[in-house]
Amino acid sequence: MNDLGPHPSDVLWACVEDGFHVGSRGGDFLGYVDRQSDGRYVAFDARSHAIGSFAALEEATAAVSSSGDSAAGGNGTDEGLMGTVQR
Amino acid sequence: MTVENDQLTSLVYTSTASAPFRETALAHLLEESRERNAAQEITGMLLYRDERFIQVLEGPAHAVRRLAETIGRDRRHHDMRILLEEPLDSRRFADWTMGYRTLQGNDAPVGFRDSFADLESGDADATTLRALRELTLWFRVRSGTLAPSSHG
Repeated sequence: MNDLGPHPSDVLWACVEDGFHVGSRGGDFLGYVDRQSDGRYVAFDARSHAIGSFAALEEATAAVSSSGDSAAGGNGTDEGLMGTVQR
Repeated sequence: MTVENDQLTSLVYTSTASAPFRETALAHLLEESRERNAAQEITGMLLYRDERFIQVLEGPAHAVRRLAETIGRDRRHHDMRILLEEPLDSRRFADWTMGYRTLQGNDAPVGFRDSFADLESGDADATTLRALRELTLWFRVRSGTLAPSSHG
């Protein structure tokens, strides 16, 4: 696993395509970062609410990670957002 | 996982194109599959990247399995491998008889997983499920069915 870089070790970040990044922690969806046409990175929480626009990807991922911290216990996979994923 | 015959089911597979697909060939493939899927209550998503396919089929279990068998015999691809089959409470792709998106090659930044590669690898259930969720989210955002909202 290439869990390197600036992210807290408990947050797993994935890149779906260039500019679209999804964060999760312990299997729970935290949010995502989508690069806009102007080059800025907009961070979204687990319910797809925009929580900020940032110049750097690292700032945006940090905002998503923090949103997950503040919603701990009430966050996790939003079935309506992510679709029902059963184990 | 075994599911009942009429249970709403999702099946995910990966395969390799037998030859590079031009846009016209993909359009023809999608036209075929959408007509067939509509008749069989099948919905889903097809992703294509670097001559690799990932497809999600969802519908009644018997219809999904029959379609997967048919797809497996299609000479336009090979090395078909089923990554996941699971029961669903509701469809993830109810709006698409076969949604389609091409992904460009992905040079994931250092520290980031590559969702397409993770799903395709199918190494572990947890990895497969996570990668599927990521690709589903991306598909929905890019297709405009998951409209981001402003904060507050």
